Amino acid sequence: MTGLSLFGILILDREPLALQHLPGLMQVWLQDAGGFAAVGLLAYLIYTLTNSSDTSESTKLRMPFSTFMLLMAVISLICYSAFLALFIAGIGREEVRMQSDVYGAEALAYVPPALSLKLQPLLLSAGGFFALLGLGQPFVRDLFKLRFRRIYAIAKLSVKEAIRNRLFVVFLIFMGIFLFPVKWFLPNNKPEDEIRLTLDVTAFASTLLLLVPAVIISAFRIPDDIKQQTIYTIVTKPVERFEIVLGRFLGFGTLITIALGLMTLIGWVYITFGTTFDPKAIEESQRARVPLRGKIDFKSKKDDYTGVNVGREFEYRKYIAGSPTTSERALWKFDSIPANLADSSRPDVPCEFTFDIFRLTKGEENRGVDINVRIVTWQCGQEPPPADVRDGVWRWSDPVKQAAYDDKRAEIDEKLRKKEVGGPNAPPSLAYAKPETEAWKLADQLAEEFGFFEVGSVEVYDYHPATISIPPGLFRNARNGTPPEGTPRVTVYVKCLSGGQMLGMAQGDLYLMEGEKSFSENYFKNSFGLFCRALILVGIAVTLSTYLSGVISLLATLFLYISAYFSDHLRDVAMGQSTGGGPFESLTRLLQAQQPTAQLDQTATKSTIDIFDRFYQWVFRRYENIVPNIDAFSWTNYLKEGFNINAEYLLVNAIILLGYLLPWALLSYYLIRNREVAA
Amino acid sequence: MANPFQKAVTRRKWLYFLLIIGLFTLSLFWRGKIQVPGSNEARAIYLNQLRRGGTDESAAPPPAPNAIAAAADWLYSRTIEQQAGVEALELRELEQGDPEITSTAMRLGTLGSRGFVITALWKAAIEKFKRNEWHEFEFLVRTVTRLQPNFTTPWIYQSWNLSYNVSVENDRLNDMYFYITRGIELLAEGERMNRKSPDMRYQIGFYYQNKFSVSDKVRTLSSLFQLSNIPHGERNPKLFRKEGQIDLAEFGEFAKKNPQLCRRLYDQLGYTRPEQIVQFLEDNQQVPSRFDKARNDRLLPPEQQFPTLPIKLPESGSAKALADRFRYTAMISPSETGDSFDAFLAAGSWYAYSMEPLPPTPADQLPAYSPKLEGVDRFRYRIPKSPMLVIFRQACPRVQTYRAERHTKEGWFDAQTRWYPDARADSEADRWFPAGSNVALETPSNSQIEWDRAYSLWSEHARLNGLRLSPEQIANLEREAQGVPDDYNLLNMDEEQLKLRGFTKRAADARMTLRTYYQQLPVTNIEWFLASSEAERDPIMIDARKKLLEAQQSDNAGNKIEAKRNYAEGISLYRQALRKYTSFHRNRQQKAEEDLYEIQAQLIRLLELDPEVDSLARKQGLAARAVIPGADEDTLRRTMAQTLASRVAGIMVTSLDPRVQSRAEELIRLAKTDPAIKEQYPAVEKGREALIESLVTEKEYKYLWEYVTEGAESDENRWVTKDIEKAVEQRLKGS
Repeated sequence: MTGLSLFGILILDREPLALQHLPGLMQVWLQDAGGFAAVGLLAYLIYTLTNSSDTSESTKLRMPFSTFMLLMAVISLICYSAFLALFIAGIGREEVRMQSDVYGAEALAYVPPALSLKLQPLLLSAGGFFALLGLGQPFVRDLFKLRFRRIYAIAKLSVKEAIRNRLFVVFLIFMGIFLFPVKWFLPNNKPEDEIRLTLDVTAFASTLLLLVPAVIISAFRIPDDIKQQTIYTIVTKPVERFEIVLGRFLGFGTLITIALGLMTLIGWVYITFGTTFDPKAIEESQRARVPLRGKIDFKSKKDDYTGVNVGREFEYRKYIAGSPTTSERALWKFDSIPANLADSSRPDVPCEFTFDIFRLTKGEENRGVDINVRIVTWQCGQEPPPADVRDGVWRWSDPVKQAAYDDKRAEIDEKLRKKEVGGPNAPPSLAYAKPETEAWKLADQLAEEFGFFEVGSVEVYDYHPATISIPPGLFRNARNGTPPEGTPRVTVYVKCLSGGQMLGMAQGDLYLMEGEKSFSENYFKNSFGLFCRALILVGIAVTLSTYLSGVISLLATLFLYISAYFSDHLRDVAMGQSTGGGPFESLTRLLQAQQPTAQLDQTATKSTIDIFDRFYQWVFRRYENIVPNIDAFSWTNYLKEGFNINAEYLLVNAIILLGYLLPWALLSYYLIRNREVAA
Repeated sequence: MANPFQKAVTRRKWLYFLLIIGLFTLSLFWRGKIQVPGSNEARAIYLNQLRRGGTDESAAPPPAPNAIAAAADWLYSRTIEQQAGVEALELRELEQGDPEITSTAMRLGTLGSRGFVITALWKAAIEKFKRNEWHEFEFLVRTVTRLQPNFTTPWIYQSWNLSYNVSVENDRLNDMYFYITRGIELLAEGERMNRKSPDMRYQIGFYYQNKFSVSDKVRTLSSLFQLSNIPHGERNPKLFRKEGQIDLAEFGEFAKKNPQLCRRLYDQLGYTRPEQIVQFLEDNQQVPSRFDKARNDRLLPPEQQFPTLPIKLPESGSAKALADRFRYTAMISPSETGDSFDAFLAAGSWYAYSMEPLPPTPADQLPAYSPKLEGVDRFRYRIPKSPMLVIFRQACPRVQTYRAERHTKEGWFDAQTRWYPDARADSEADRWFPAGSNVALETPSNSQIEWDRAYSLWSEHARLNGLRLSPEQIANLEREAQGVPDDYNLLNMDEEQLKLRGFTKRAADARMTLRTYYQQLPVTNIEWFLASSEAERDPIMIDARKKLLEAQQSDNAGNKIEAKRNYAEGISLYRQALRKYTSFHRNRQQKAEEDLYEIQAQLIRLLELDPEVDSLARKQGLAARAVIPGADEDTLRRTMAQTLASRVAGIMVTSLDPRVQSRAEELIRLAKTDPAIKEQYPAVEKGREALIESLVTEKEYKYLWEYVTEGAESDENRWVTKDIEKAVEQRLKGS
């Protein structure tokens, strides 16, 4: 029933962004991008209105001004004023969620934004929306003036220039080095880790070797054109200024696509057809599981039980205590069951899980801990034992049904013992039935009839995935009828049997296997994340280079991009969650040689420091708004741990990419228009 | 004709030109690029050595022939190159250790931001550690250490992290073993880049010693270590399987070649059937190894081998003597390692290697605190950061003691020891060799040899470090130090300050020596190690250990009668050894007494279960209950059984004492001629056994169960003092 493998450990302390998060994302985008747009619109209007009479015609053309913009600005201002009034009055405020719904994940999890219908966020979004409309009006109007052939010509020129530069070629040659077997560079690794390590190294190398030349080329091209005056050959022609930016962006994008495509293809050939890999590594790594994930919960006979925190620094998991008589359970609730799980042609539905063992005693040498797994449908309700009862057995809500199940099970076991059913190789009991056997069919029928299946004891090792087989009949039972509101169709109960051991679990640690997809497909999907990151980098670099010099654009882009790797820290500082306080409080602590966790006296100095820190937090929040969320585009963990990268996630990636690049495009539109490039 | 201004210009140009040439030439001398005329290079080098200290008088060059030559020598010795002593300072990267192109490329690749990159990687590594993402954690720590290869602390810190903190998070022992090996390999890699660090060498030795001797899972881990030393071709499980069955002939050959491994698996891990052993080999086929599986089991390059061993060993000085004992390098062939090669020998080799950069010991002199590299070549020697020098120096004897203990624990006692795998075979499936054969496995190493080596290493260590002063030496020192207070600050004063306080330097030094001696004795625990190794190598103790192991095995196998007999014989022999080695018995460590009491408790426990003792105890319990009606019957029975069992154990053990035996022989002989003897010892007529029992229960040897010698009924004269009895009882109750 069980199998051990080393893979399939995916830590989901950040929920991947999916379509369900889009409304929330859109609202946040309107607030953030709209906020910046509002400031830009205001500055723009002040500038154009104060310089309207004495400016030249060409300037007026570059700095168009319309009644629509003014109207939008006024509406936006009304929205923000209303927000300010509500903010001061404390009405309609949205509490910032710092904790995820994922039970185990506490302070570490990234919380995807949710749509809020409270007044304050709604007003902020509306203000942002109108500001964007106002600022975007000239941009949208000019979009219709764009001509593909001109953009194409500039893009083609960008590709040609970059190829002439040979920068990409050099980087591609370097990339070749990373495609040699990892064991040449890092000998004595675990054979089963080989492909995983190779994927890590190639992902790292691809990221470095793709992004560095991309940002260098993007940051320097427009400033170089201006410096070398080659831009005159373009701007003196009837070309829209924004076409230069768009052309450059598309040109570099094409180049990146070609380079990434090549690298991915070479990498895929190497990983798929490489002959030096250990067979165990191939067997384990080249997979793309399609998991069905449930929601975790912790229950025991105590009503307020929510799992135990054992004090590990990484607070991703919560723990249940092990004992044969414990009533503590971890539950995974599956609200919907896809039809393919209940398919009768399917021999079994694998349920995979990976737990953390926190040992309170040494336990037995070379042995993990034993767990009990009970899978029930909504038709087979379970109840914890009453608080005053010593045993920890969970009983069926319907004792009559339980008695019927027990009788039927005993009857089948008896027949199996006597070899009356189950064929000549019948196991002594249903507990030993294996898929694709006669006995398993009996288990399947029983599960379908009662909606109950239990694996008495499975040995699990620390951080080593194990698998049990569940009869598909159970899922047919689950899909039959409509469960009452709030009741999941299927619930998996996990109990730790080994005394003195704690079993740590998080939401992502147990899943049902819906099926498997192709590893190759997954490999290419993984590249999409990198492609998005490269486009973000190019977008920022091209935008900044419309106004800044090449070196400054490069540094600013890198600074922005690299700070995205410290997003957790940025978020902590921005939300005032950083240990030791904000920068001013930290400085005070340093000067006074105080511990970061020590409580500071509430003095006038402390209050002043708090004010400064709060201002700093505000600045940081604004900075955080413009830092790209590169974690949302990283799929290497899915690939190397053998999980399918859902197409939905990639679609959301593409939407986020567009959302992120749009404000930059708007900025570049205004910057390039106002740049004095012609003599 | 040039005008005066032109002439002045020309003169000035010539002057500048000549000054440049002159200063440049002078700089060649000053830098040492051109030898000072009349000087001699050997004499100049010697002069610099004299300044640094640590010169070898025998290697002194002949003196300068005259004062001018001496002055030229002095001048030459002060040149930059000579003072720097390029070779001696060894400041160039190449002289720190093996060059490593990847790390150099990585360092260059950080483009001057190494500090920033290292900080970010270190932080990332901590995150990976928290998330149990071990392979990524390892990759990051390897990168961090390679980015700063000559900073030794990160190598030690991160290798510890891998070998201890990461490995312990793995339940499966081959995973645990893997990360122990990775930590050791990481540190060995660091050592290759830092050839002068005694600390790194010592730590590698310590990991081997510690992880394979005192860790929780030592039995499996040491077996996996042995697998690493067996070529793949010899332990390939396919070799031992033929048509679904175990090929006993092939398996037998394997067992004969690896008796220690097989016995450990059998005795300690319960792999009693050949099938189980082969399964163990199959489950652990992929352990890190010294051999290249793909190339016909050729030795891997030293940096890829596990166990990682030193490339070379010390070739001179006191460290060489240690290297002669622990002589295992990366080049050693598998035939020289064999089944008796264990982690302790690997540790010993690293320890011996770590002694190479240490300054010479105060050989045959008095003990001293850690020297400050005064009077020795400071470019050649290093003082380790930790542990304190005298403990650092005793690493080799310590690991030898561990090795000897391992042999004792595993039952390889002496040259006569044989192990019969089929002795306890219950069925055909349990047999390792064909029915009818009685094959015994033997191994060249045994505890007697190892304890003997341990004793000699400890003795030598004590001698070289002044840890074994004779009573005369101590008396002399006390005499010299008379009147000098034991004040550390005072003892460190210079001669003049001491004189002002009325003390001589000699007296202060004597006091300092005594102070050091009395501090180092407990710190090093040298007395215990010497006493235990001396006692354990003795044939009596070897016999005692043999008997006690047999007793334990019989007990486990359910053969209680044999177990009781063996326990009694073992305890008797153990007591004889204690009598012979009083310092072993009455050592401040008390371990010998604790062990004795535990073994006696085992015997008493067995006797309590004896049907005769039990029935007698019941009778006595009932009788006692008649006197005390309210007493609990079961408690009374248990108390009676304990008393009776203790008495029977006493008789069994003391009867075997040679003094009792010879006295019985003597009395039987005398009784034949002297009727008074029969009167005094009526049991003589009942036979030898009865006489012995009377001697140990009623007559002159009645004391022997509790006391070592007759007469003195003090706690000090007990085999086990009351305090220790209580402590052990508490412990046994707790367990």
